[in-house]
Amino acid sequence: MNTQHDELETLLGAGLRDRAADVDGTWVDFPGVRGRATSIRRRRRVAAGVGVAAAVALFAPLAVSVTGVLQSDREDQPAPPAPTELVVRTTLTLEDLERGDDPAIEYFTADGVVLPDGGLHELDSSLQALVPSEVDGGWLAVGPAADEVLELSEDFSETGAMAMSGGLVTNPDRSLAAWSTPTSDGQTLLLHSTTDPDMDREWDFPPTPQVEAVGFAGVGNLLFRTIGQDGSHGIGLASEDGTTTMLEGDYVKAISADPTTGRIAVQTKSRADLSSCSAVLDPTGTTTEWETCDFLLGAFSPDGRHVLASDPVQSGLGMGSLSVLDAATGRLVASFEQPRRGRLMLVGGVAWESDSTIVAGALEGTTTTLLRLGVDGTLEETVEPVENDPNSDLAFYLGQDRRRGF
Amino acid sequence: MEPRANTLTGTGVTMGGSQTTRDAEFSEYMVMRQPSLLRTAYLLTGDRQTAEDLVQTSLAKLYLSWDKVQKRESLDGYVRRILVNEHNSLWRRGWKKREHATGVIPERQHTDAYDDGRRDAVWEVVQTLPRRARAVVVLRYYEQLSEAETADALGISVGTVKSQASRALAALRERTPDHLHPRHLEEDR
Repeated sequence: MNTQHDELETLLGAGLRDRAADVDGTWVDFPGVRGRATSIRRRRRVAAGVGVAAAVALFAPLAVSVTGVLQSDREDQPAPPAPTELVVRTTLTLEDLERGDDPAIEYFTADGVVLPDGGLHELDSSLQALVPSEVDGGWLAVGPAADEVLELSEDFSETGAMAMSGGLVTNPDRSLAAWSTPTSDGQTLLLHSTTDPDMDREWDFPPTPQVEAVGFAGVGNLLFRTIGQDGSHGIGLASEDGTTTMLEGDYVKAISADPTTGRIAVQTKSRADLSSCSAVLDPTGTTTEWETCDFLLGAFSPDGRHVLASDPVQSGLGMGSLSVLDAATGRLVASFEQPRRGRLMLVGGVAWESDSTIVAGALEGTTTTLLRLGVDGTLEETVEPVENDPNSDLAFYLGQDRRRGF
Repeated sequence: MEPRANTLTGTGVTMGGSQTTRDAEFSEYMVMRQPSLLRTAYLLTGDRQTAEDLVQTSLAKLYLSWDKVQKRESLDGYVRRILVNEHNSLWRRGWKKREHATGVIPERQHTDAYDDGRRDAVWEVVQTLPRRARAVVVLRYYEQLSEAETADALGISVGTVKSQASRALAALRERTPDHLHPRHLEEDR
Protein backbone atom coordinates (compact mmCIF):
# COMPACT_ATOMS: atom_id res chain seq x y z
CA MET A 1 0.00 0.00 0.00
CA ASN A 2 2.74 2.39 1.02
CA THR A 3 4.71 1.45 -2.06
CA GLN A 4 1.79 2.31 -4.27
CA HIS A 5 1.32 5.56 -2.38
CA ASP A 6 4.98 6.43 -2.91
CA GLU A 7 4.73 5.56 -6.58
CA LEU A 8 1.77 7.85 -7.02
CA GLU A 9 3.65 10.63 -5.26
CA THR A 10 6.56 10.06 -7.58
CA LEU A 11 4.28 10.08 -10.61
CA LEU A 12 2.65 13.28 -9.45
CA GLY A 13 5.96 15.03 -8.85
CA ALA A 14 7.37 13.88 -12.18
CA GLY A 15 4.24 14.93 -14.02
CA LEU A 16 4.31 18.40 -12.50
CA ARG A 17 8.00 18.87 -13.18
CA ASP A 18 7.50 17.71 -16.73
CA ARG A 19 4.65 20.14 -17.25
CA ALA A 20 6.50 23.04 -15.62
CA ALA A 21 9.54 22.42 -17.78
CA ASP A 22 7.64 23.98 -20.66
CA VAL A 23 7.51 27.30 -18.85
CA ASP A 24 10.57 29.44 -18.66
CA GLY A 25 11.96 32.84 -19.44
CA THR A 26 11.57 36.23 -17.87
CA TRP A 27 9.07 38.70 -19.12
CA VAL A 28 8.92 41.50 -16.61
CA ASP A 29 11.72 43.89 -15.77
CA PHE A 30 12.44 45.77 -12.60
CA PRO A 31 10.67 49.00 -13.69
CA GLY A 32 7.55 46.93 -14.37
CA VAL A 33 7.55 45.37 -10.91
CA ARG A 34 8.36 48.70 -9.27
CA GLY A 35 5.48 50.30 -11.15
CA ARG A 36 3.04 47.75 -9.84
CA ALA A 37 4.51 48.13 -6.36
CA THR A 38 3.95 51.87 -6.57
CA SER A 39 0.35 51.26 -7.52
CA ILE A 40 -0.15 48.86 -4.60
CA ARG A 41 1.49 51.31 -2.17
CA ARG A 42 -0.72 54.13 -3.39
CA ARG A 43 -3.80 52.01 -2.83
CA ARG A 44 -2.63 51.12 0.66
CA ARG A 45 -2.22 54.81 1.44
CA VAL A 46 -5.68 55.48 0.16
CA ALA A 47 -6.97 52.75 2.41
CA ALA A 48 -5.12 54.28 5.32
CA GLY A 49 -7.13 57.44 5.08
CA VAL A 50 -5.90 59.77 2.38
CA GLY A 51 -8.52 58.71 -0.12
CA VAL A 52 -11.18 58.17 2.51
CA ALA A 53 -10.93 61.83 3.48
CA ALA A 54 -11.49 62.75 -0.15
CA ALA A 55 -14.48 60.47 -0.33
CA VAL A 56 -15.97 61.99 2.81
CA ALA A 57 -15.54 65.44 1.30
CA LEU A 58 -17.19 64.29 -1.90
CA PHE A 59 -20.24 62.96 -0.10
CA ALA A 60 -20.58 65.80 2.39
CA PRO A 61 -22.94 68.39 0.96
CA LEU A 62 -24.10 71.46 2.77
CA ALA A 63 -27.37 71.15 4.58
CA VAL A 64 -29.69 73.63 6.16
CA SER A 65 -29.81 73.25 9.91
CA VAL A 66 -32.80 73.79 12.14
CA THR A 67 -31.61 77.32 12.72
CA GLY A 68 -31.38 77.98 9.01
CA VAL A 69 -27.62 78.43 9.07
CA LEU A 70 -25.62 76.65 6.42
CA GLN A 71 -23.32 74.16 8.01
CA SER A 72 -21.09 71.41 6.75
CA ASP A 73 -21.52 67.74 7.56
CA ARG A 74 -17.81 67.13 7.31
CA GLU A 75 -16.63 64.66 9.88
CA ASP A 76 -13.80 66.92 11.03
CA GLN A 77 -16.28 69.36 12.49
CA PRO A 78 -18.05 68.57 15.75
CA ALA A 79 -21.63 67.54 15.28
CA PRO A 80 -24.17 69.90 16.80
CA PRO A 81 -25.84 68.56 19.92
CA ALA A 82 -29.09 66.84 19.08
CA PRO A 83 -32.22 68.41 20.49
CA THR A 84 -33.44 66.30 23.34
CA GLU A 85 -37.18 66.64 22.97
CA LEU A 86 -37.88 68.20 19.59
CA VAL A 87 -39.68 66.06 17.06
CA VAL A 88 -39.92 67.66 13.65
CA ARG A 89 -43.00 66.66 11.66
CA THR A 90 -43.15 67.32 7.94
CA THR A 91 -45.92 66.57 5.46
CA LEU A 92 -44.93 64.57 2.41
CA THR A 93 -46.00 66.47 -0.70
CA LEU A 94 -44.52 67.59 -3.97
CA GLU A 95 -46.45 70.84 -3.93
CA ASP A 96 -44.44 74.06 -3.67
CA LEU A 97 -41.20 72.27 -2.93
CA GLU A 98 -38.01 74.22 -3.37
CA ARG A 99 -35.36 72.85 -5.65
CA GLY A 100 -32.17 71.95 -3.82
CA ASP A 101 -28.78 70.84 -5.05
CA ASP A 102 -28.50 67.76 -7.20
CA PRO A 103 -28.11 64.55 -5.17
CA ALA A 104 -24.63 64.10 -3.77
CA ILE A 105 -24.92 60.38 -4.50
CA GLU A 106 -25.28 58.71 -7.87
CA TYR A 107 -28.72 57.83 -9.17
CA PHE A 108 -29.98 55.94 -12.17
CA THR A 109 -32.37 56.87 -14.96
CA ALA A 110 -33.60 55.01 -18.01
CA ASP A 111 -30.60 56.39 -19.91
CA GLY A 112 -27.81 55.63 -17.50
CA VAL A 113 -26.27 56.84 -14.28
CA VAL A 114 -25.96 60.41 -13.06
CA LEU A 115 -22.82 60.90 -11.02
CA PRO A 116 -22.54 63.71 -8.46
CA ASP A 117 -19.56 65.24 -10.16
CA GLY A 118 -19.93 64.09 -13.72
CA GLY A 119 -23.48 64.32 -15.03
CA LEU A 120 -25.17 61.59 -17.03
CA HIS A 121 -23.14 58.64 -18.26
CA GLU A 122 -25.08 56.46 -20.65
CA LEU A 123 -25.10 52.75 -19.85
CA ASP A 124 -25.84 49.76 -22.04
CA SER A 125 -27.92 48.08 -19.35
CA SER A 126 -29.93 48.98 -16.27
CA LEU A 127 -27.33 48.55 -13.57
CA GLN A 128 -28.61 48.25 -10.02
CA ALA A 129 -25.56 49.73 -8.27
CA LEU A 130 -22.30 51.40 -9.17
CA VAL A 131 -19.32 51.71 -6.83
CA PRO A 132 -16.04 53.38 -7.82
CA SER A 133 -12.99 51.16 -7.51
CA GLU A 134 -9.88 53.03 -6.46
CA VAL A 135 -7.88 49.89 -7.13
CA ASP A 136 -8.01 50.10 -10.90
CA GLY A 137 -9.92 53.27 -11.65
CA GLY A 138 -12.90 51.22 -12.78
CA TRP A 139 -16.17 50.30 -11.15
CA LEU A 140 -17.96 47.55 -9.29
CA ALA A 141 -21.56 47.22 -10.38
CA VAL A 142 -24.62 45.10 -9.80
CA GLY A 143 -26.12 43.69 -12.98
CA PRO A 144 -29.67 44.33 -14.21
CA ALA A 145 -31.00 41.10 -12.68
CA ALA A 146 -29.26 41.81 -9.36
CA ASP A 147 -27.70 38.35 -9.45
CA GLU A 148 -24.20 39.33 -10.55
CA VAL A 149 -21.47 41.68 -9.41
CA LEU A 150 -19.84 43.16 -12.48
CA GLU A 151 -16.32 44.46 -12.88
CA LEU A 152 -16.32 47.48 -15.17
CA SER A 153 -13.50 49.46 -16.70
CA GLU A 154 -13.26 53.20 -16.32
CA ASP A 155 -15.47 53.69 -19.39
CA PHE A 156 -18.10 51.25 -18.00
CA SER A 157 -17.14 48.35 -20.28
CA GLU A 158 -17.75 45.02 -18.59
CA THR A 159 -14.54 43.11 -17.92
CA GLY A 160 -15.73 40.45 -15.50
CA ALA A 161 -18.71 39.05 -13.64
CA MET A 162 -19.21 37.09 -10.43
CA ALA A 163 -22.43 35.42 -9.32
CA MET A 164 -24.04 37.03 -6.29
CA SER A 165 -26.84 36.07 -3.97
CA GLY A 166 -28.60 38.44 -1.62
CA GLY A 167 -27.27 41.72 -2.90
CA LEU A 168 -24.29 44.01 -2.53
CA VAL A 169 -23.55 45.97 0.64
CA THR A 170 -21.11 48.85 1.04
CA ASN A 171 -19.95 51.03 3.90
CA PRO A 172 -20.69 54.78 3.87
CA ASP A 173 -17.51 55.90 2.13
CA ARG A 174 -17.74 52.83 -0.08
CA SER A 175 -14.19 51.76 0.59
CA LEU A 176 -15.62 48.32 1.43
CA ALA A 177 -18.07 46.13 -0.45
CA ALA A 178 -19.36 42.69 0.44
CA TRP A 179 -21.51 40.02 -1.10
CA SER A 180 -22.06 36.28 -1.11
CA THR A 181 -21.10 34.14 -4.07
CA PRO A 182 -21.58 30.43 -4.80
CA THR A 183 -18.45 28.32 -5.16
CA SER A 184 -17.81 24.82 -6.42
CA ASP A 185 -18.22 23.33 -2.96
CA GLY A 186 -20.40 25.82 -1.12
CA GLN A 187 -20.57 29.57 -0.87
CA THR A 188 -18.23 32.32 0.16
CA LEU A 189 -18.91 35.63 1.83
CA LEU A 190 -16.50 38.07 0.23
CA LEU A 191 -15.41 41.38 1.69
CA HIS A 192 -13.61 43.49 -0.87
CA SER A 193 -11.78 46.74 -0.34
CA THR A 194 -12.22 49.11 -3.27
CA THR A 195 -9.03 50.83 -2.22
CA ASP A 196 -6.65 48.07 -1.13
CA PRO A 197 -6.84 44.43 -2.26
CA ASP A 198 -4.73 43.39 0.71
CA MET A 199 -7.71 44.10 2.93
CA ASP A 200 -9.93 41.55 1.18
CA ARG A 201 -11.41 38.86 3.41
CA GLU A 202 -13.30 35.64 2.73
CA TRP A 203 -15.46 33.35 4.83
CA ASP A 204 -16.40 29.95 3.44
CA PHE A 205 -19.78 28.32 4.12
CA PRO A 206 -21.43 25.03 3.13
CA PRO A 207 -23.98 25.13 0.28
CA THR A 208 -26.90 25.57 2.68
CA PRO A 209 -28.34 27.58 4.30
CA GLN A 210 -28.04 30.48 1.89
CA VAL A 211 -25.79 33.25 3.19
CA GLU A 212 -26.38 36.93 2.42
CA ALA A 213 -24.37 39.99 3.42
CA VAL A 214 -26.34 42.55 5.44
CA GLY A 215 -23.91 45.28 6.42
CA PHE A 216 -20.73 46.29 8.20
CA ALA A 217 -20.97 46.15 11.97
CA GLY A 218 -18.02 48.20 13.17
CA VAL A 219 -14.52 47.89 11.83
CA GLY A 220 -13.78 44.53 10.25
CA ASN A 221 -17.04 42.80 11.14
CA LEU A 222 -19.56 41.80 8.53
CA LEU A 223 -23.16 41.10 9.51
CA PHE A 224 -24.81 38.35 7.50
CA ARG A 225 -28.05 36.44 7.52
CA THR A 226 -28.76 32.85 6.65
CA ILE A 227 -31.92 31.55 5.03
CA GLY A 228 -32.63 27.84 5.32
CA GLN A 229 -34.51 25.78 2.77
CA ASP A 230 -37.41 25.72 5.25
CA GLY A 231 -37.42 29.53 5.34
CA SER A 232 -35.74 29.74 8.76
CA HIS A 233 -33.53 32.76 9.33
CA GLY A 234 -30.28 33.09 11.21
CA ILE A 235 -28.01 36.05 11.93
CA GLY A 236 -24.24 35.91 12.11
CA LEU A 237 -21.14 38.03 12.43
CA ALA A 238 -18.08 37.35 10.31
CA SER A 239 -15.01 38.69 12.06
CA GLU A 240 -11.74 39.99 10.74
CA ASP A 241 -9.91 37.02 12.25
CA GLY A 242 -11.73 34.69 9.87
CA THR A 243 -14.23 33.30 12.36
CA THR A 244 -18.02 33.48 12.19
CA THR A 245 -20.43 33.62 15.11
CA MET A 246 -24.17 33.01 14.95
CA LEU A 247 -26.24 35.24 17.22
CA GLU A 248 -28.43 33.62 19.79
CA GLY A 249 -31.95 34.92 19.99
CA ASP A 250 -35.23 34.38 18.27
CA TYR A 251 -35.04 37.10 15.64
CA VAL A 252 -37.10 37.30 12.47
CA LYS A 253 -34.23 38.65 10.39
CA ALA A 254 -31.24 40.98 10.34
CA ILE A 255 -32.04 44.43 8.95
CA SER A 256 -28.89 46.55 8.96
CA ALA A 257 -25.66 47.28 10.78
CA ASP A 258 -23.84 50.45 11.73
CA PRO A 259 -20.23 50.62 10.51
CA THR A 260 -19.44 53.38 12.99
CA THR A 261 -20.70 51.99 16.30
CA GLY A 262 -21.21 48.35 15.37
CA ARG A 263 -24.87 48.39 16.40
CA ILE A 264 -27.16 45.87 14.74
CA ALA A 265 -30.81 46.39 13.77
CA VAL A 266 -33.01 43.30 13.73
CA GLN A 267 -36.66 42.53 13.25
CA THR A 268 -37.86 40.80 16.40
CA LYS A 269 -41.50 40.08 15.63
CA SER A 270 -43.65 39.59 12.56
CA ARG A 271 -47.37 39.32 13.19
CA ALA A 272 -50.23 37.94 11.16
CA ASP A 273 -51.63 41.47 10.67
CA LEU A 274 -48.34 42.35 8.90
CA SER A 275 -47.19 44.51 11.81
CA SER A 276 -43.75 44.02 13.25
CA CYS A 277 -41.32 44.96 15.98
CA SER A 278 -37.65 45.85 15.67
CA ALA A 279 -34.71 46.20 18.01
CA VAL A 280 -31.20 47.61 18.08
CA LEU A 281 -28.58 45.28 19.54
CA ASP A 282 -25.14 46.09 20.86
CA PRO A 283 -22.15 45.33 18.60
CA THR A 284 -21.79 41.81 19.97
CA GLY A 285 -25.42 41.04 19.25
CA THR A 286 -25.94 39.80 22.78
CA THR A 287 -27.73 42.76 24.37
CA THR A 288 -30.85 44.59 23.23
CA GLU A 289 -30.25 48.33 23.58
CA TRP A 290 -33.84 49.25 22.73
CA GLU A 291 -36.88 47.78 21.01
CA THR A 292 -39.90 49.29 19.28
CA CYS A 293 -43.17 48.02 17.86
CA ASP A 294 -44.05 51.50 16.52
CA PHE A 295 -41.57 51.32 13.67
CA LEU A 296 -39.80 48.95 11.33
CA LEU A 297 -36.14 49.92 11.31
CA GLY A 298 -33.98 50.58 8.29
CA ALA A 299 -30.42 51.79 7.68
CA PHE A 300 -28.16 53.67 10.09
CA SER A 301 -26.87 57.11 9.15
CA PRO A 302 -23.20 57.26 8.11
CA ASP A 303 -22.20 58.75 11.47
CA GLY A 304 -24.23 56.17 13.36
CA ARG A 305 -26.31 58.76 15.23
CA HIS A 306 -29.63 58.03 13.53
CA VAL A 307 -31.53 55.14 12.07
CA LEU A 308 -34.29 55.25 9.48
CA ALA A 309 -37.68 53.82 10.29
CA SER A 310 -41.01 53.30 8.59
CA ASP A 311 -44.49 52.12 9.52
CA PRO A 312 -44.44 48.81 11.35
CA VAL A 313 -47.14 47.59 8.98
CA GLN A 314 -45.83 46.90 5.51
CA SER A 315 -48.48 47.12 2.81
CA GLY A 316 -46.22 46.36 -0.11
CA LEU A 317 -47.08 49.70 -1.68
CA GLY A 318 -44.06 51.55 -0.37
CA MET A 319 -43.70 53.43 2.86
CA GLY A 320 -46.63 55.42 4.19
CA SER A 321 -44.31 57.47 6.35
CA LEU A 322 -40.62 57.81 6.92
CA SER A 323 -39.08 58.55 10.30
CA VAL A 324 -35.66 59.19 11.75
CA LEU A 325 -34.87 57.80 15.20
CA ASP A 326 -31.99 58.37 17.57
CA ALA A 327 -29.89 55.23 17.10
CA ALA A 328 -28.77 55.15 20.73
CA THR A 329 -32.19 55.47 22.35
CA GLY A 330 -34.89 54.93 19.75
CA ARG A 331 -36.30 58.41 20.36
CA LEU A 332 -38.25 59.86 17.42
CA VAL A 333 -36.29 62.76 15.90
CA ALA A 334 -38.09 63.52 12.64
CA SER A 335 -41.23 62.24 10.98
CA PHE A 336 -42.29 62.66 7.36
CA GLU A 337 -45.98 61.89 7.18
CA GLN A 338 -48.67 61.58 4.56
CA PRO A 339 -51.04 64.54 4.17
CA ARG A 340 -54.34 64.25 6.02
CA ARG A 341 -56.11 65.09 2.77
CA GLY A 342 -55.23 65.00 -0.89
CA ARG A 343 -52.97 62.70 -2.80
CA LEU A 344 -50.76 60.22 -1.07
CA MET A 345 -47.11 60.09 -1.92
CA LEU A 346 -45.39 56.80 -2.56
CA VAL A 347 -41.88 56.86 -1.09
CA GLY A 348 -39.42 54.18 -2.07
CA GLY A 349 -35.73 53.57 -2.49
CA VAL A 350 -34.47 55.50 0.52
CA ALA A 351 -30.73 56.14 1.04
CA TRP A 352 -28.59 58.21 3.36
CA GLU A 353 -26.93 60.99 1.36
CA SER A 354 -24.91 62.40 4.28
CA ASP A 355 -24.95 62.25 8.07
CA SER A 356 -28.04 64.45 8.12
CA THR A 357 -29.78 64.11 4.76
CA ILE A 358 -31.66 61.33 3.02
CA VAL A 359 -32.50 60.95 -0.65
CA ALA A 360 -35.68 59.08 -1.56
CA GLY A 361 -37.64 58.31 -4.68
CA ALA A 362 -41.12 59.80 -4.62
CA LEU A 363 -44.20 59.25 -6.76
CA GLU A 364 -47.30 61.40 -6.40
CA GLY A 365 -49.97 60.70 -8.95
CA THR A 366 -47.95 60.32 -12.12
CA THR A 367 -45.21 62.72 -11.08
CA THR A 368 -41.92 61.36 -9.84
CA THR A 369 -38.79 62.96 -8.45
CA LEU A 370 -35.99 62.44 -5.98
CA LEU A 371 -36.49 64.17 -2.64
CA ARG A 372 -33.97 65.30 -0.06
CA LEU A 373 -35.21 64.86 3.49
CA GLY A 374 -33.24 66.41 6.31
CA VAL A 375 -32.95 65.09 9.82
CA ASP A 376 -34.04 68.64 10.71
CA GLY A 377 -37.34 68.08 8.89
CA THR A 378 -36.51 69.94 5.70
CA LEU A 379 -37.90 68.62 2.41
CA GLU A 380 -36.82 69.61 -1.10
CA GLU A 381 -36.57 68.34 -4.65
CA THR A 382 -33.17 67.38 -5.95
CA VAL A 383 -34.08 66.77 -9.58
CA GLU A 384 -36.68 68.17 -11.93
CA PRO A 385 -39.91 66.15 -11.49
CA VAL A 386 -41.01 64.19 -14.53
CA GLU A 387 -44.23 62.54 -15.59
CA ASN A 388 -43.89 58.84 -15.00
CA ASP A 389 -45.69 56.36 -17.20
CA PRO A 390 -47.70 54.28 -14.68
CA ASN A 391 -46.81 51.13 -16.60
CA SER A 392 -43.10 51.81 -16.45
CA ASP A 393 -40.49 51.62 -13.74
CA LEU A 394 -39.77 54.76 -11.76
CA ALA A 395 -37.84 57.31 -13.80
CA PHE A 396 -35.22 57.61 -11.05
CA TYR A 397 -33.80 54.99 -8.74
CA LEU A 398 -30.90 54.73 -6.31
CA GLY A 399 -28.19 52.11 -6.11
CA GLN A 400 -29.11 48.82 -4.47
CA ASP A 401 -26.28 49.04 -1.94
CA ARG A 402 -27.39 52.52 -0.85
CA ARG A 403 -31.05 51.75 -0.31
CA ARG A 404 -30.60 48.67 1.81
CA GLY A 405 -32.37 48.40 5.12
CA PHE A 406 -36.05 48.36 4.17
CA MET B 1 14.52 39.62 -21.69
CA GLU B 2 16.69 36.61 -21.12
CA PRO B 3 17.57 35.46 -17.63
CA ARG B 4 20.88 36.71 -16.44
CA ALA B 5 23.55 34.41 -15.24
CA ASN B 6 22.98 33.33 -11.71
CA THR B 7 25.33 35.55 -9.79
CA LEU B 8 23.63 34.88 -6.47
CA THR B 9 24.67 31.60 -5.09
CA GLY B 10 23.31 30.41 -1.83
CA THR B 11 23.86 33.23 0.57
CA GLY B 12 24.87 35.77 -2.06
CA VAL B 13 22.05 38.25 -1.39
CA THR B 14 22.87 40.98 1.08
CA MET B 15 20.15 43.07 2.62
CA GLY B 16 19.94 46.74 3.49
CA GLY B 17 21.91 49.74 2.27
CA SER B 18 20.88 52.67 0.10
CA GLN B 19 17.86 52.80 -2.19
CA THR B 20 20.10 52.18 -5.18
CA THR B 21 21.71 49.19 -3.51
CA ARG B 22 18.32 47.98 -2.36
CA ASP B 23 16.88 48.17 -5.87
CA ALA B 24 19.91 46.44 -7.31
CA GLU B 25 19.62 43.64 -4.78
CA PHE B 26 15.94 43.21 -5.46
CA SER B 27 16.43 43.35 -9.20
CA GLU B 28 19.06 40.67 -9.03
CA TYR B 29 16.89 38.45 -6.88
CA MET B 30 13.93 39.03 -9.16
CA VAL B 31 15.79 38.06 -12.30
CA MET B 32 17.20 34.99 -10.67
CA ARG B 33 13.92 33.72 -9.21
CA GLN B 34 11.50 34.83 -11.87
CA PRO B 35 11.60 31.64 -13.98
CA SER B 36 11.15 29.45 -10.93
CA LEU B 37 8.24 31.52 -9.63
CA LEU B 38 6.63 31.50 -13.04
CA ARG B 39 6.74 27.71 -13.20
CA THR B 40 5.10 27.40 -9.80
CA ALA B 41 2.52 30.03 -10.73
CA TYR B 42 1.78 28.19 -13.96
CA LEU B 43 1.15 24.95 -12.10
CA LEU B 44 -1.18 26.81 -9.75
CA THR B 45 -3.09 28.65 -12.47
CA GLY B 46 -2.74 26.43 -15.54
CA ASP B 47 -2.49 29.54 -17.67
CA ARG B 48 0.67 31.36 -18.66
CA GLN B 49 -0.84 34.83 -18.84
CA THR B 50 -2.50 34.54 -15.44
CA ALA B 51 0.71 33.10 -14.03
CA GLU B 52 2.72 36.06 -15.27
CA ASP B 53 0.29 38.50 -13.71
CA LEU B 54 0.37 36.55 -10.47
CA VAL B 55 4.16 36.57 -10.34
CA GLN B 56 4.40 40.27 -11.13
CA THR B 57 2.01 41.14 -8.31
CA SER B 58 3.84 38.82 -5.92
CA LEU B 59 7.20 40.35 -6.79
CA ALA B 60 5.75 43.84 -6.38
CA LYS B 61 4.54 42.93 -2.89
CA LEU B 62 7.91 41.43 -2.10
CA TYR B 63 9.56 44.67 -3.24
CA LEU B 64 7.39 46.64 -0.83
CA SER B 65 8.38 44.32 2.01
CA TRP B 66 12.02 43.92 0.98
CA ASP B 67 13.38 45.73 4.01
CA LYS B 68 11.16 43.78 6.39
CA VAL B 69 12.50 40.39 5.38
CA GLN B 70 15.46 40.22 7.69
CA LYS B 71 16.85 36.85 6.72
CA ARG B 72 17.90 36.41 3.12
CA GLU B 73 17.22 32.68 3.29
CA SER B 74 13.60 33.52 4.07
CA LEU B 75 13.01 35.32 0.79
CA ASP B 76 11.97 32.32 -1.25
CA GLY B 77 9.49 31.17 1.37
CA TYR B 78 8.16 34.68 1.80
CA VAL B 79 7.49 35.29 -1.88
CA ARG B 80 6.08 31.78 -2.27
CA ARG B 81 3.63 32.49 0.51
CA ILE B 82 2.59 35.73 -1.21
CA LEU B 83 2.18 33.82 -4.47
CA VAL B 84 -0.11 31.07 -3.17
CA ASN B 85 -2.17 33.39 -1.00
CA GLU B 86 -2.60 35.85 -3.83
CA HIS B 87 -3.70 32.97 -6.01
CA ASN B 88 -6.14 31.66 -3.42
CA SER B 89 -7.86 35.02 -3.15
CA LEU B 90 -11.44 34.77 -4.35
CA TRP B 91 -11.07 38.27 -5.66
CA ARG B 92 -8.66 36.95 -8.27
CA ARG B 93 -10.43 33.70 -9.02
CA GLY B 94 -14.11 34.52 -8.73
CA TRP B 95 -14.51 36.59 -11.83
CA LYS B 96 -15.70 35.16 -15.11
CA LYS B 97 -13.60 37.36 -17.32
CA ARG B 98 -15.13 39.02 -20.34
CA GLU B 99 -12.33 38.92 -22.84
CA HIS B 100 -12.21 41.86 -25.21
CA ALA B 101 -8.61 41.65 -26.34
CA THR B 102 -7.77 39.41 -29.26
CA GLY B 103 -4.10 39.05 -28.51
CA VAL B 104 -3.26 35.59 -27.23
CA ILE B 105 0.03 34.60 -25.75
CA PRO B 106 0.81 31.27 -27.38
CA GLU B 107 1.65 28.37 -25.14
CA ARG B 108 4.95 26.82 -26.04
CA GLN B 109 4.72 23.47 -27.72
CA HIS B 110 5.48 20.79 -25.21
CA THR B 111 8.15 18.27 -26.09
CA ASP B 112 7.67 15.27 -23.90
CA ALA B 113 10.42 12.75 -23.76
CA TYR B 114 8.00 10.01 -22.72
CA ASP B 115 4.57 11.15 -23.77
CA ASP B 116 2.79 7.94 -22.93
CA GLY B 117 -0.24 9.62 -21.39
CA ARG B 118 0.94 9.88 -17.82
CA ARG B 119 1.70 13.57 -18.17
CA ASP B 120 -1.79 14.33 -19.40
CA ALA B 121 -3.35 12.15 -16.74
CA VAL B 122 -1.46 13.93 -13.96
CA TRP B 123 -2.22 17.34 -15.39
CA GLU B 124 -5.91 16.57 -15.80
CA VAL B 125 -6.14 15.48 -12.19
CA VAL B 126 -4.27 18.55 -10.95
CA GLN B 127 -6.48 20.88 -12.96
CA THR B 128 -9.64 19.46 -11.46
CA LEU B 129 -8.49 19.79 -7.87
CA PRO B 130 -10.03 22.52 -5.69
CA ARG B 131 -7.80 25.55 -5.45
CA ARG B 132 -6.33 24.93 -2.02
CA ALA B 133 -5.81 21.23 -2.69
CA ARG B 134 -4.02 22.15 -5.87
CA ALA B 135 -1.75 24.50 -3.96
CA VAL B 136 -0.99 21.70 -1.51
CA VAL B 137 -0.06 19.35 -4.35
CA VAL B 138 2.16 21.89 -6.09
CA LEU B 139 3.99 22.81 -2.91
CA ARG B 140 4.35 19.22 -1.69
CA TYR B 141 5.22 17.40 -4.91
CA TYR B 142 6.67 20.07 -7.15
CA GLU B 143 8.33 22.42 -4.68
CA GLN B 144 9.15 19.38 -2.50
CA LEU B 145 8.18 21.17 0.69
CA SER B 146 7.53 19.16 3.81
CA GLU B 147 4.02 18.87 5.18
CA ALA B 148 4.86 21.41 7.88
CA GLU B 149 6.36 23.85 5.39
CA THR B 150 3.36 23.48 3.10
CA ALA B 151 1.00 24.07 6.01
CA ASP B 152 2.94 27.16 7.02
CA ALA B 153 2.95 28.60 3.50
CA LEU B 154 -0.78 28.13 3.10
CA GLY B 155 -1.76 29.05 6.62
CA ILE B 156 -3.50 25.71 7.21
CA SER B 157 -2.91 22.79 9.55
CA VAL B 158 -0.61 19.88 8.83
CA GLY B 159 -3.65 17.62 9.08
CA THR B 160 -5.34 19.56 6.29
CA VAL B 161 -2.22 19.23 4.15
CA LYS B 162 -2.24 15.48 4.70
CA SER B 163 -5.91 15.08 3.88
CA GLN B 164 -5.73 17.31 0.79
CA ALA B 165 -2.69 15.47 -0.52
CA SER B 166 -4.29 12.12 0.19
CA ARG B 167 -7.41 13.08 -1.74
CA ALA B 168 -5.34 14.26 -4.68
CA LEU B 169 -3.46 10.95 -4.76
CA ALA B 170 -6.73 9.04 -4.55
CA ALA B 171 -8.05 11.03 -7.50
CA LEU B 172 -4.89 10.28 -9.43
CA ARG B 173 -5.22 6.59 -8.61
CA GLU B 174 -8.79 6.57 -9.88
CA ARG B 175 -8.18 8.48 -13.05
CA THR B 176 -4.86 7.10 -14.18
CA PRO B 177 -5.41 4.47 -16.85
CA ASP B 178 -4.49 1.02 -15.63
CA HIS B 179 -1.80 0.44 -18.22
CA LEU B 180 -0.11 3.70 -17.18
CA HIS B 181 -0.23 2.99 -13.49
CA PRO B 182 3.19 3.09 -11.85
CA ARG B 183 2.93 -0.53 -10.83
CA HIS B 184 2.28 -1.68 -14.40
CA LEU B 185 5.07 0.48 -15.75
CA GLU B 186 7.42 -1.07 -13.28
CA GLU B 187 6.35 -4.54 -14.32
CA ASP B 188 6.88 -3.66 -18.01
CA ARG B 189 10.49 -2.75 -17.45
